[in-house]
Amino acid sequence: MTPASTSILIPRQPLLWLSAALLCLVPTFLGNIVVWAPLVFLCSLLAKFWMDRRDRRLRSLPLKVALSLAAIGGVFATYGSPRSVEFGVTLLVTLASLKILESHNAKDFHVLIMVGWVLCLCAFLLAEDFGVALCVLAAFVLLVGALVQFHRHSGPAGTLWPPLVTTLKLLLQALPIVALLFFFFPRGGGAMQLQFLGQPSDSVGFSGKLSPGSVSSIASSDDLAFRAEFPDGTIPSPRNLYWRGAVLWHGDGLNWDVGSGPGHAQANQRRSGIAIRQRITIEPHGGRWLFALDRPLNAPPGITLGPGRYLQSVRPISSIRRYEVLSAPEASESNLNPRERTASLRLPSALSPDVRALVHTWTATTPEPRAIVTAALEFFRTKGFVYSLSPGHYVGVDALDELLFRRKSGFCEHYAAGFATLMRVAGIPSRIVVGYLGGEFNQYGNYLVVRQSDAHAWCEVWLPESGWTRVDPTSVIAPERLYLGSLRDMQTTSVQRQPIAGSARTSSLPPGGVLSEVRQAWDTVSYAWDSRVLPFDLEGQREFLMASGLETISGMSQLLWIAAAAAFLLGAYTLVSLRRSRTPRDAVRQLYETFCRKASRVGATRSVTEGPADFAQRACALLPGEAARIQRIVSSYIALRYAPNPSRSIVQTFAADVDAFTGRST
Amino acid sequence: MRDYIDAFTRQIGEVIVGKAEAVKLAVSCLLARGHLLIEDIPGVGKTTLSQALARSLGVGFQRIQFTSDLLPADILGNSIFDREQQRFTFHPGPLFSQVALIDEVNRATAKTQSALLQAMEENRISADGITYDLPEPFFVIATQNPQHQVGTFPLPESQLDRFLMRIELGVPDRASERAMLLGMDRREILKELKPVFTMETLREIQAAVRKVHTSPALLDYLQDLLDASRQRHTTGLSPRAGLALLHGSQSWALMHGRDMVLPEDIQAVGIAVMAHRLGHDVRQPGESGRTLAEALLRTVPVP
Amino acid sequence: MKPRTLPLVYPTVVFGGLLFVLFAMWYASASQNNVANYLLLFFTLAVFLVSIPHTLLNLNGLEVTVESVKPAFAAKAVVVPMAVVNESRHTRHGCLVTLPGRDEAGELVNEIPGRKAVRVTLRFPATARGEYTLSEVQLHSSYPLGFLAARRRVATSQRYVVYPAPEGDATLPVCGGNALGAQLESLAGEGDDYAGVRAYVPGESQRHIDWKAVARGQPLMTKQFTAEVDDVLRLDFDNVPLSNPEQRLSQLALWVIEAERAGRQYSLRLPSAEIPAASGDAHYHRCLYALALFR
Repeated sequence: MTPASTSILIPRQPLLWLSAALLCLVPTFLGNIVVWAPLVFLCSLLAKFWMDRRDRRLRSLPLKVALSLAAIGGVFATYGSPRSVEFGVTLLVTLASLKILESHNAKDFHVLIMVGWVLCLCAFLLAEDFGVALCVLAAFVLLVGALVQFHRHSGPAGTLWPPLVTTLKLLLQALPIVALLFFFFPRGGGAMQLQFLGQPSDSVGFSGKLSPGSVSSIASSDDLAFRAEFPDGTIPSPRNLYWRGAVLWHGDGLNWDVGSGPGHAQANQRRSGIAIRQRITIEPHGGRWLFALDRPLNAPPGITLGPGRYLQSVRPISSIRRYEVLSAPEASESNLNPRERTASLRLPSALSPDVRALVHTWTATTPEPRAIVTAALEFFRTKGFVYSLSPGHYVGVDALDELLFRRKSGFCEHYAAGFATLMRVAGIPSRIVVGYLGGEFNQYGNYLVVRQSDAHAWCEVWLPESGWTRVDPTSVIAPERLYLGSLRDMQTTSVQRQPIAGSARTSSLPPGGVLSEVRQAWDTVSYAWDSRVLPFDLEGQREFLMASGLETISGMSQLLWIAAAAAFLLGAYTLVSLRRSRTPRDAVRQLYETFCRKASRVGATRSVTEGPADFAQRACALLPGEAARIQRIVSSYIALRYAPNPSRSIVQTFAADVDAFTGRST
Repeated sequence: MRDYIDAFTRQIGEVIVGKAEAVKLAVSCLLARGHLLIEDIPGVGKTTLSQALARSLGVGFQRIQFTSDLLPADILGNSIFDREQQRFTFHPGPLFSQVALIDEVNRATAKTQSALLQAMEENRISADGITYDLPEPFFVIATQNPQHQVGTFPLPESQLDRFLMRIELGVPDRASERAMLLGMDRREILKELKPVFTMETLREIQAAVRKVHTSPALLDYLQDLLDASRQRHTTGLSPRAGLALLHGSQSWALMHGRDMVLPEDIQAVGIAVMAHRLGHDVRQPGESGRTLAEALLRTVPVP
Repeated sequence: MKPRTLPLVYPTVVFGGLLFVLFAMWYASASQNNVANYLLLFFTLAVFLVSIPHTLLNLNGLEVTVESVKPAFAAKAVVVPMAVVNESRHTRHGCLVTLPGRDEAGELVNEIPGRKAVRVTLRFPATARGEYTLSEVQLHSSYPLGFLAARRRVATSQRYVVYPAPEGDATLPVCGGNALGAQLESLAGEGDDYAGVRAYVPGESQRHIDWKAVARGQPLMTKQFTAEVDDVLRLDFDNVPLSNPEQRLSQLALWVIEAERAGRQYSLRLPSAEIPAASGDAHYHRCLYALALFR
């Protein structure tokens, strides 16, 4: 600190950098916290520049107190309870806005830098996807740049590059240390877990329930659900990409949920066909659902298999999670245990006679379950059912009747629910599987992106000969749903046929071509961030250390090792910089010094203030045997050092003479 | 060109016996277009040297004896009323010559001294509000007695700076003194001196002096000297002193037939150039400028 | 080669803020098991660590050569000229040059390019008369990030003199029976020695018109005379009409200045020293120096 740090005003240049940094953080707050907070923030940044030019700032203490109280009050009014991340972040953003307004000296500048860093932290607390990471990185670089700029005390206003270069150099040198810390810094065990009320979870998307109508919001959501890699290289065809999320056993008309279920999954899995290995990186959703291709064979560590063979995390997924799972599409069970049979035959509380009559028309013709399934599918295919994302709400006890006999419009969830109920009425054990269907293949990264809009629901019925068999009623009503992969595409292709109301996002969908490529490239990088960086938490690091055989090192010695390595790196930087900052020695001068050293050894010592000509004269007198060589050496030296336009060719003879000089007469 | 210089030096050496070094310094000072100050006790040949220099240069010269009652107008010139033309006309003083020999410069009052020094600095004088240019080249060769003699007005420090060199003659050694005692009368020799240079030759030589190469290594040494003087003495060497050192050593190098300056050249002219500029150090009242200059040359390493 | 003193690196106030931020980052990442925040923490920490050698090296290769300090009068500013030489090849930034113990005298050098020197002039008020030693100059820099500051002290052995403040109301002492102080201006033209002629200005005393020249037909000219000023002004410590020795010294200093300005010869006598009459810069400083060192 300079002695008068409080009296130094913030120069314009660092202030600009700082503002740019803070500006970079604004997009990360938009959509995550209440919208007025980033707006207030923006306004105060603008106001700061307006006031700065007029040498004004927020001075009056009562006004400051009043504004702070207003800010706190506003945040309270918006969130109610202080126990949420959003509350804290919003409060911080608003108070930072006020700080911007009143700041004017060096101390305030540093406080603002710290605030900037804390806001980076907040941005990551709200979301940690790659977009946010980029914003934060930009902000971070600009903050460091602002500091560098400030402490350079640079004079000319136009200098942009030198401080930026210094900043980048700092960051570049910091990278090895960052890597070191990243791999080896002991992660906290969550022992001091801070409990926030609302987990930062995506509210749209998958849930453990099936209530018709909820899916239309999912369908229009372009958000990422998870990404899947296929390490063995076998990628199923798009129509077989059924991602199993949860199995719903308990149905009541169109509303289904997991219910009590039949207890844990049985082990009598018959394995047949090929197994497909998937490496899945799932976005945090706050629930415990995990996904795998139909049907998962094993449960990775920390994950259990739910009844009906679906994956379930032991802990809620609040951060990016990565796991590997093996699935066998052909797998089936040999027998149905009684508990499962009961659970999968339980009928809704109220069933209309019309439904029973409909089912009776099928059961009357054949007792064969497979034939009944076919008949039911035929019913859906031929009786004018329409696939629509906005079929309106089906409510009440006769929701099923409404769907089957009157409105005949709906989407996967409706049809799956209807179909499963019909099967149960027909005495065929059935259940609903919810998950995702399809996915977008990313050719750059060789992986599949599954978005919320790929959400799907389908049925499974028990057929004695093949066990639990997947039946997707949607496929007969809207076959293109299967081929085209996602609901999103459906909307664009069938827009003429199926007027979609309330889907505002339709227009913003990527039209393909260049944009789609850019989107894929972006997603590849984003996936690298999500799959390589973000999962490297406590468990990720433990796995890594175990894999590299270092798991025995305790946290404390881990820290010591890091400190030692960092100190080594810093020492190396210091030495290299020291060496590089030294001016190169002049070859001519070095040779002359060598000559003087040699001469000194044989009795002719040059005094420091003696010029070359004087010394030559004296040395010749002292060493008459070498007089000729001394004369040659000194005249070359004079020519090289003092003469106009010395020819470099003399250097060689000079060097040779100095080399040959011994001081003893030959 | 070198022949001319040698001949010039030789001719003066014949007049001033046994003072080869001082003579060479004096010559190099003139060739470097600098004003020369000769300081010593009376009777060692200051005036003889200055006259020999002036006569050998082959340019017009005037001699002025400074006394305490000398007024600036006496050296610069007077405006005298011209009756026929009914106006004042300027009658140039003795300073209007190419070489001005000034004897006992520290006898005059400060006013006269500063008039002289202004003329030396600007190569022009102003009288009655009109400026007159002095001839080109214009040299001042001044002699003075050592300080603190009764009835002297020491030249102010800032004005000493305008003399490129100050040399001292000293009592000749025994052999030279004997030669002087036996030889012709100095005044006779002076009368017979023939100019060695023409004006053109002098100009050429002076131009050649400025072209003598000074390498970066040499300039480093020169600057080291200046820096050291500034660190050690309250009256450190001025940038003008640096220039004086440079020009003096260039001229010295040329006199010795080199086209480049060596540290030896700086050392050779160093005392003559620096001593009078380091004159009075407040904190070292006993030290003469010569001692301080010698100390500088003795301690600042040649790079 | 002068022995190099290593810079001292110490944390600044801002470092406290950094510690807080680092702790906040660590807490947030550890409690949330949040890898992105861990990365942020690592970046911040690493950038800070990397800034240590930068801070350390920013003063490397900087040499200070203090030039001699001109004497100053008490209560005026002492001006310390110095050159900060960057002997390395890299540019050094934001270097504050101060004198230890005199924080008010500081100059910030924004940039010293490699192999270049920057001249710095520090000023501070001179307190009391006397001779002082500037034993060290302090270089200070918090570049690049400001969390750490490096400080290096460069030893110098420069001395400076503070002359007594020239003060006092007493007039110059009388010498040789003449009240010279009052007569100084009128000296020229009133003396006995003929000095020359100049054009007559109407209104002048007609006593000095060169009538002989008029008789020769020349215009009116005034003869000029000067007085030979051989009266020496004797400044004596014991004869100053003041009781306080410091006041006496101040009065003497003022007299020395006045006498020098008037071009007079003057001598100075102190109980401890005596300086014979002379004039000129050297003499002037010698007298003031003696006054400064008086005890």
